[in-house]
Amino acid sequence: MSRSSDTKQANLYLVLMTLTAIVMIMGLTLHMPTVYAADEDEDEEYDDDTDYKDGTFTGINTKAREGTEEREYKGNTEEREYKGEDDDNGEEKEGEGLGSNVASMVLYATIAAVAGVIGYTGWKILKMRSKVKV
Amino acid sequence: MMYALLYLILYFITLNPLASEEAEDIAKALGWMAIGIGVIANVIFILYNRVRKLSLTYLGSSSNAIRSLAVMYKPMLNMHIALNTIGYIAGMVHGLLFIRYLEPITLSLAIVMSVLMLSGLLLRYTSSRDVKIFNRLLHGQSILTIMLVLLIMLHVFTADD
Repeated sequence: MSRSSDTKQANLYLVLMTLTAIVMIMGLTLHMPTVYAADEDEDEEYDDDTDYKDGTFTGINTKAREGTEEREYKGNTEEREYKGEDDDNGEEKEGEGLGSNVASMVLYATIAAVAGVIGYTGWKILKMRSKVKV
Repeated sequence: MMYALLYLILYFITLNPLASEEAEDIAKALGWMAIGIGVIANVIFILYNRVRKLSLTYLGSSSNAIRSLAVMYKPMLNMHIALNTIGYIAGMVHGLLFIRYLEPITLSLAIVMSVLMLSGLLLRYTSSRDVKIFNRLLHGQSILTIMLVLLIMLHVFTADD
């Protein structure tokens, strides 16, 4: 196998891995608003007095604000978009099975395990190559 | 005979989505189809490899059984790749159809499936020595297989929620 052929193979491999990474990142990006939307259903009680205080329109939901300020995703615009969409189907949240926290842990554990296995395998190859050279 | 049986099974599995009336049922059937094809493709190939290795240990390399098993290797490998590719595509289409219900367990499953699929394809279709060794080690990692089975089970149990 010539050097240029090796480089081509390596480039192909890198391109494929980059594509996988892009898909993973896209998936994570899509997943994030879903989690926020699920949490958002808990705040439905705040919606009743939204925008009105003492019979006058204020445009600010103070309770909801207090509720969201404690969260990390404060100021996230996606949160607002999803809140609007999910207002009518709050029941979806009820049977969430393992719960979003455990499920998120599964995701992080998977990413860590996959990265670990890839890293370990790469390290093994590098070790093997360095032994051959010596 | 075995191929005829496989085609028959695949025929009925693929007919199932077409027979369903609602789009959601079709998407669900695609998921089951991916699981079914994956089980067929991998169980048969793993069993074949085990039998080949065991018979090599106990019968020796000069046996006729070993020779006939060795001849079968390429077709078995091609079947393994083809079925897994179909299963992977079915699984991904199922995932894309249900993208609005995407949750962490499903995403984890997609990641593990993609890593195994990519390493398998690269193992088969690249000729560079290092890339081949890397992918052979990666593709044969039992932790990835265990994770895949566990994630499929978790996905099946929690998908309806």
